[in-house]
Amino acid sequence: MALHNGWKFSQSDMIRNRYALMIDLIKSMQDEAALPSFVPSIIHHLPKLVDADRCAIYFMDHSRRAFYLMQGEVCALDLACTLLSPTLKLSSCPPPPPHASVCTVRSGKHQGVHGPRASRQCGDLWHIEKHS
Amino acid sequence: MDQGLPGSVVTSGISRNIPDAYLDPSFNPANDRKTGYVTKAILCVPIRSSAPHAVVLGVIQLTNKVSGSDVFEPEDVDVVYKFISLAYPIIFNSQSYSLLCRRGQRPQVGFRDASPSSPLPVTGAISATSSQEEDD
Repeated sequence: MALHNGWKFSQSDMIRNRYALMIDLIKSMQDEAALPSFVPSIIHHLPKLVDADRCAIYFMDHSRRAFYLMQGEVCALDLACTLLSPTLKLSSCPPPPPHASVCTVRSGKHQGVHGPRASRQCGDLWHIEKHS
Repeated sequence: MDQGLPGSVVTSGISRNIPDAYLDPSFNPANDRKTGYVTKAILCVPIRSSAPHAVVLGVIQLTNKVSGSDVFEPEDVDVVYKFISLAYPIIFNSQSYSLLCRRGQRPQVGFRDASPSSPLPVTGAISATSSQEEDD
């Protein structure tokens, strides 16, 4: 009985911590109006809720029928394009909005790419990914 | 857009809990080959409200469970759905805010400016109250 109660207590404590973290995350999201402001915090905190290793978020652009992502710590444009559509050509992607700040990942090394260069590569499919 | 795992989730509007990604035909292993990362379990959940004809705003994809069993449990799916039910209106409002800003229609009521230094916009109701107080 004591062991069972101890197990129950640890389970309830874990669930309580999970939901406390979720509420903190929602509160921090409510403090920001712009999507790029709170997307990194989602990517950072959401894996902790479910003990995941990585988190990626894709946002829809319904007018272009494509995925996009605003901004983040690590954006893998070329990987996102291959992930979503293996046949997609990077040059065929429309340019990103002016406020977009993106970077590519090549050979495991992050290379920052901003503005026009990013526009030439791909703009419509941005993929944000971060190790937890 | 219909291709890949996120594409299939957006199209169907139903979450997918995949224990082994390499056994799923919609998974594209090109990322793993490029980065050396080994993807196993994937939990892909659409960002949408519970309304019948709600618009799917995007997809949250969680990869590789790091504790307990290597696969995501139904409780994990439930937690992500609870998070999305709370986050959906915030994301929806944020996207609407961005859309209005891009169109040059700066929202005056109900939104706070994205830049932290700028003050809250003064609404018509607050302005009217202030003028009444000044009159008194």
